[in-house]
Amino acid sequence: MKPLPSTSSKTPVKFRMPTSENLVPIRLDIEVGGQRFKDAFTWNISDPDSEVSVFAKRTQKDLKLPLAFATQIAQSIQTQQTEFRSYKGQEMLTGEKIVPIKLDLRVNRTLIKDQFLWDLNNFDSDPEEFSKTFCNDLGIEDPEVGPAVAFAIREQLYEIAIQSVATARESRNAKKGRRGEYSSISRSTGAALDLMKLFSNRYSGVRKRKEWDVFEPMVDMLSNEEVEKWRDLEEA
Amino acid sequence: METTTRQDPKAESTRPDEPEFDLYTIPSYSSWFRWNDIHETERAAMREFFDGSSVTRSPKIYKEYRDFMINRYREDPSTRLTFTEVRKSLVGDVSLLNKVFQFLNQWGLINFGADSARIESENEYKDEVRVEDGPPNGIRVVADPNSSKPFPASHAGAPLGADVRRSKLSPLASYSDVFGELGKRKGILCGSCGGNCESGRYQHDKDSYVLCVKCFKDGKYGNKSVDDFKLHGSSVSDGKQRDAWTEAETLLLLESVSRHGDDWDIVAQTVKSKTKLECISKLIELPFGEFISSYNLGKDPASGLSGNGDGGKDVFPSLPEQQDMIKSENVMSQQANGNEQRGDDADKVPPLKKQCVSYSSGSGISIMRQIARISSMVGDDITATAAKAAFAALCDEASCPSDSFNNEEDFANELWPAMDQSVSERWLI
Repeated sequence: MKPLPSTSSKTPVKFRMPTSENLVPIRLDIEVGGQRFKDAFTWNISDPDSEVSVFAKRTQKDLKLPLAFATQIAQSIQTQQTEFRSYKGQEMLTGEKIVPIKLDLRVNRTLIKDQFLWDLNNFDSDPEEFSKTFCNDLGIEDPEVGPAVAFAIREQLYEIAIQSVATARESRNAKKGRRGEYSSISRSTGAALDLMKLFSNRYSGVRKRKEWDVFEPMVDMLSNEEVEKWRDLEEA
Repeated sequence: METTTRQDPKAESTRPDEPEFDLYTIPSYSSWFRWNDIHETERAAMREFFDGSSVTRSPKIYKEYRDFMINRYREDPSTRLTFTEVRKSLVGDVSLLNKVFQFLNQWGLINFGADSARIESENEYKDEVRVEDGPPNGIRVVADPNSSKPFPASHAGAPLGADVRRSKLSPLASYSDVFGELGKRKGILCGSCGGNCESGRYQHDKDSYVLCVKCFKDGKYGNKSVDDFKLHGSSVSDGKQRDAWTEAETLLLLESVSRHGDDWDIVAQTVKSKTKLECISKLIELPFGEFISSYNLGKDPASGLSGNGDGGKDVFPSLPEQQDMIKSENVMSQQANGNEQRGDDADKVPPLKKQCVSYSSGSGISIMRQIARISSMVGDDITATAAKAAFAALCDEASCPSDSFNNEEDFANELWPAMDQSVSERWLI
């Protein structure tokens, strides 16, 4: 097993999803005529572009949507792809970045709230595997929860990756010394925790007991009425 | 697998049955483990902690993670410790924590004696085939609340908003949910004797009371008048056909799937006596069922293969697909090799050889798959005769070598005749 390359806050890395697979989170929210179609999934950015229209057509056909949806779906995916690719080649300053990831989502009847830490430097990380373990350990049976959790993680990682590109740009333009770089990191990327504070419990890897339930997942099952209430809230 | 019984390392005594010591079992291949040290095995497996690459990863922190997890597990050795339980208590990247967890798990330092029943049940669950009707619940198509257009209520297939909800099977539908209704529709039961009213029933005009033919003849009218009963025709079509698939239904299914692909609404309409789900399940069960529907998706629309009619001669357009044609010829000629006994049935076979048919994939497909495709393209009678011709050819082939060696003409007939019938039946179904 290869040891991770030693990283320091100064070494920039080319933009990419900090996960083992370069899957990009895609959100769809399309309205045509009287119908609204919402979906969220991950897309492999290395797939050929022809796949987009195939997928869009397939989706429209499977869900028996009017034809206009196919083009809209394809367009939306392509737009998001282009946006992702526009970051390509740019540098993101990852440095030492362990960020908190928060889950706060509803999938059908399941309500999930959770918080944990994710290392942006760990390019072997796998949200899908994490989500699989998550569902297995908590005995979640709804097969749609897993992908939704993985998607939520990816979305946040994507956001943070984009932010760190902006940070890298700032620090390059700043033309300050090393000190300047540090201050711009901690200022503009508030998501990154101060590493020493991370191990606040006497620099121990074990968390203080009182903080355990902050970082513990909370899974609730909703009744039918509650599901309806949530739906109305979300669509308003 | 050997096991060693490790004592609680705080005590040095070697007598395992003294009640003051806790005993924990770990596999013998993990006997390198020491509480007060980090072994080379651990260093090699998790270099990230030992290469100084980050201030968040150090041998000290690794040891803390490891010790915490093992101690946590040992609080209740019979229960399987899950990763989710420990990760809330440890500070660090969850992927890294999971790596440590999996390491300990694999080496049996945790969860070695734990209840593994849940893992087995999870694996079983994966093997169940779940037939779902419609898109998953997470994908919703709803009426845009801002639009003034009325939302079409009869939108087949698309899940609607709160108001119109078709009765869909939940993703957790089990076998009995899907097929339970089959049992219920087994047939109409007689109100008097409780038996199946297969050969006809007498329905009371004013209510739902039903009598089978036998009870009616026996005069068991209950407290109803004989005049009120009306004979309903033979319900042979009601009872049994709902359970099993007849040949006719199966052929209808195959035809309509090869024509309509996986548009199950139309398929179910064609096979009138079976629901969509039954059609899907049946297709999966068929030996080449999946190939038929997947083949249909890849079909060249220009080839216009809609002919399931007779002869098959008029149906196939010539398309220049040299490789595939040669391949199909090889297949057919193998089947009809050295066959002098074809008879007039096999006259229908040569036209296939002459026509070029475009296959959507290359020539690397297995023979079985090709046969499946060919048989889905032609009518059932052609498939039957082709199968018979093939078997005649095979019998002939088998007999040739033995003839030349032993000059025993009966050898082949003894070997094959029993197979002939049963296997050609399988081709039909």
